[in-house]
Amino acid sequence: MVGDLVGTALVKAGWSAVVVGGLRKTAIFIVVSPVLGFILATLIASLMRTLFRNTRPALANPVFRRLQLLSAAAYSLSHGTNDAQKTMGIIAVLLFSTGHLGTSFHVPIWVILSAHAAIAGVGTARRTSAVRWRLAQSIVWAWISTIPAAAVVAALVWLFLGLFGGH
Amino acid sequence: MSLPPWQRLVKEAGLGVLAIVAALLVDIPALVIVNLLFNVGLYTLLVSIVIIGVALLVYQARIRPRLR
Repeated sequence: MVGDLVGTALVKAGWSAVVVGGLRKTAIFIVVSPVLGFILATLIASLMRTLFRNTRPALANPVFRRLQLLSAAAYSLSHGTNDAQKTMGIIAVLLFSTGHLGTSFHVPIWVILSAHAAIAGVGTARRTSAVRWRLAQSIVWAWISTIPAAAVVAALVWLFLGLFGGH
Repeated sequence: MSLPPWQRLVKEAGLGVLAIVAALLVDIPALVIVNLLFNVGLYTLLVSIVIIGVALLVYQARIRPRLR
């Protein structure tokens, strides 16, 4: 969404329309969020392994099987609150640009942070070979390429619509 | 030796609560620290998190296997 907005703004109004401070914040959290997720997941997985090292699997397995429902629900909630932000962001931009919203609005920090809790940490808590690094590599490339690619596509769509007087 | 059903239920519930509390013991202090770093500055947060993340990765990948 950030890439879309930047691409469209660049084509429509040039660099002066881009709020660099906002872009910087987004770029920083693209790095911070997954790394923080990795740290938390590693620490939690290590703590669990230490705490339950001597617990019989016959007792621990049913408990953790049920707890997976809780963690999956928390993960889904976290993902949903993040995913909904995109739609809310588009609506907020529309309201803002048409003068129906005040001069300032923000997304709470806990929403940004919880959105990117990573699973890689759990893998390395066992051993680093348990992580599928090729998949991790492709995820990193996706982070790098998504925003510029979205910006290019948005700019092209803007130009294309202009051919039909769509602006 | 299998436990009576009520004893097994209590043990499983206890384990479950312990697991949730352990996760919160990591999550809550971490979020407080991140919030403090965020209030200090975005670049402080970025540098701190990256340093901790890289140190943890190096520990998991290089140091921990040698300790085994």
